[in-house]
Amino acid sequence: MDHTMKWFGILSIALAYGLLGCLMILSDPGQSIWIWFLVAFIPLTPITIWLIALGEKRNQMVGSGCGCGVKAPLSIHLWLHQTTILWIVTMFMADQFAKQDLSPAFRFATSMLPLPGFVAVALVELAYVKYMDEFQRRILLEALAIAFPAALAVCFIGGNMQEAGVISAVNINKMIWPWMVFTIIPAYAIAWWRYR
Amino acid sequence: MKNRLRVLRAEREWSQAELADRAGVSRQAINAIETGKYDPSLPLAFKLSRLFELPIEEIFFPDENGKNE
Repeated sequence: MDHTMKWFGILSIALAYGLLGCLMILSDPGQSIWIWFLVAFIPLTPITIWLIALGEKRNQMVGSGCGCGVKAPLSIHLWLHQTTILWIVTMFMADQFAKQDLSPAFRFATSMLPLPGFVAVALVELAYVKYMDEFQRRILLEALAIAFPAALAVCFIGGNMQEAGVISAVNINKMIWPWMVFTIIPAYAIAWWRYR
Repeated sequence: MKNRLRVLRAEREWSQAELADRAGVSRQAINAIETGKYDPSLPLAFKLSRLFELPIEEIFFPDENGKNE
């Protein structure tokens, strides 16, 4: 990720949150809760500070540390961590906002909060995949091929059990993404094990 | 597909990591190719053939049992 791309990324995320913030304030100026959207900027601070402070080290090639041997510039790893934090923080923020008694426009704006973080994660993931060799891409593809149906199966079985009254009611929408995270880890392990 | 990668690498006293560095892939990729678990792409096979200064067919050859063909 070059210098221009880095600043483009930071500005895009800041602009997206700025627009969302404006929408939230304009839609309901009386709400003091809009201040909380500023919390979304907290994860952006370490990104900026780290990337500037690291200087030349940001281009240093480092391993992923998860044993899969993907070597990518330090800046990509930092972007990956920070955008993931941004995404998770905004997901929980949106979840909290959804429980508040807010106007419809405000609700729309707060429900969109995780979107810029998600787009940022997806873009950094794409940049990260470029640093994988053909074998590592094969492993990733196989891991996804295992994890995606496994997460779907868990959700569908969970939904059926819920309808059958075997398990208590849970919000199935909020179960899918954690299951994708939980299934990708064993799926990765299985894919690696096949080629050990 | 079978290959002589391990033998050729041993002849040159290269470690898996060293060969991986030269070929621009991960050590795990070299290990998987050597153990026959993974067949490299054509560009990687050409790169390996250039590194060993041998034609591709002297490094990679079909499995007699027809496995992975």
